[in-house]
Amino acid sequence: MPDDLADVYRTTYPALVRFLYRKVWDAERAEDLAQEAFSRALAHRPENPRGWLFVVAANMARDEARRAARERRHLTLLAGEPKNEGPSPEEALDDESRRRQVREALETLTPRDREVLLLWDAGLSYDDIAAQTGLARTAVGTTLARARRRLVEAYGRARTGSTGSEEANVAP
Amino acid sequence: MSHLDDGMLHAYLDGELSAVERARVEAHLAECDPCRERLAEERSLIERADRLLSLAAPPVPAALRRRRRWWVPSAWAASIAMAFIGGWLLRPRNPPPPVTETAEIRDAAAPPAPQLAVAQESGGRPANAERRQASLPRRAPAPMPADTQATITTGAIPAEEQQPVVRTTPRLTPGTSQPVLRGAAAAPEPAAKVAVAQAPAPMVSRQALAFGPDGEIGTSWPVITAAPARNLLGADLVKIPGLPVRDIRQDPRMNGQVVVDQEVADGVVIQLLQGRSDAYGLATAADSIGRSSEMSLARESSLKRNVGPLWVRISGPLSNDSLLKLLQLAR
Repeated sequence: MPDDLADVYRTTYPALVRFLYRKVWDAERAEDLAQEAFSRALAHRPENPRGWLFVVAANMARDEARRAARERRHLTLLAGEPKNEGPSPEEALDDESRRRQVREALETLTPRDREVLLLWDAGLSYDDIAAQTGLARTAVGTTLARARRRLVEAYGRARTGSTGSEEANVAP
Repeated sequence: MSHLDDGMLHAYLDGELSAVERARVEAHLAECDPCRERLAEERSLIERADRLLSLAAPPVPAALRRRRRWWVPSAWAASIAMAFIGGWLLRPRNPPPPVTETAEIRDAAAPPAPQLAVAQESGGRPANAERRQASLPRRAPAPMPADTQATITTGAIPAEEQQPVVRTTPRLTPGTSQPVLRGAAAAPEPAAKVAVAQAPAPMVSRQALAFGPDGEIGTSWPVITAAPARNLLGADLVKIPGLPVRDIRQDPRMNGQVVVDQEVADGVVIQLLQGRSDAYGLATAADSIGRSSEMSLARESSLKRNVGPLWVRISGPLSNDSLLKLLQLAR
């Protein structure tokens, strides 16, 4: 791999995997997609590999989600028991349960807000985020503020069962 | 400068303001108590959000290198398992003698058929049907051994092969009465033990090991993450592509066996039981088939079948249509 891309790989790969994981919620699938994004970057040699990678990764994840959603519609014939909703008190302390609740809290965000939040968490700058999402740079901060607030509030609701308590304990 | 809005505060806290903007913000903050308070609030909000996002990090540290060796056979195996489920429903009720089936499995080396089809089985030849049902893998890894395909279809097991098991079960809520399911799940249990008895001495029947008295796989098994699971298996996990992974669990009774739970649809979970090949024997499911065939096809609530490396079980009121859809999904 050429040097510049090797650097990008080293510094960006974990963030890209994390970014993808919050979209596909499957650690191995996230790695698969990250690898594929990098191999495409090798083929295309974009000017701004970092930003380009996240655009490509987001598109791949979105396409995959659409395909999975289509297939799930075909499976509506499957009879099944309704899920148990809500964690039991014992489960509430479980890592897995927390992860699921964060995921569900993320789902309450609008796609735009979620995207901006995940991109920031992946390490992109406001400039990169603006370029990727089409937002004005000045709007990135506002979007992040809204997304963070909604994420914390939604998670707090899920954890305490009450509406948006600001005292909801989110310590891991 | 007028009071600072949220966007400005967050941009400041994120370090994304230009030097000029930053100076102006700090000048305002020096003179404005309410804005300083809001700054502290927003800072703690950002910290909380960051903590939450880190909770939703992938459970496995990102590996810089990914082995793809087992991707194809796993996807293929899953689809074969699915196909087999469909075919098994239609099969006549004559179980093959275990020895014959084993021998047949060992000798087989059929290439995969290009079509994934529900098998129309002749009596007692599930291995044959399975070979016809092999479907093309989604991706072809470079170093795939030639006998891997044959293995998946026929059950011959080289030392390093991984043996996936596919099982679908609706998520049963407590208190749900599914007497047919329970009863059906219980029925094959004796068959499992019988199969153990008939298996060659040095080999261990997976059936006896994999199922507890309630017939469920691993609902109480400890959850593990993907990295230790891979170490345990010595290979990549078998998954059905496109489905989210709910969790991965380790069999506490037997080294080298894990189950991967994937969500097929609301209330339906597929469990792929897989492990090192040396942990499994060539236990044939002849007797479990015989037992299971006692259940009525129309109300088929539990299938159990060990076909070479594939160990298949379906629990729940699935119709043939649903199974066909599952086949398509697995493909």
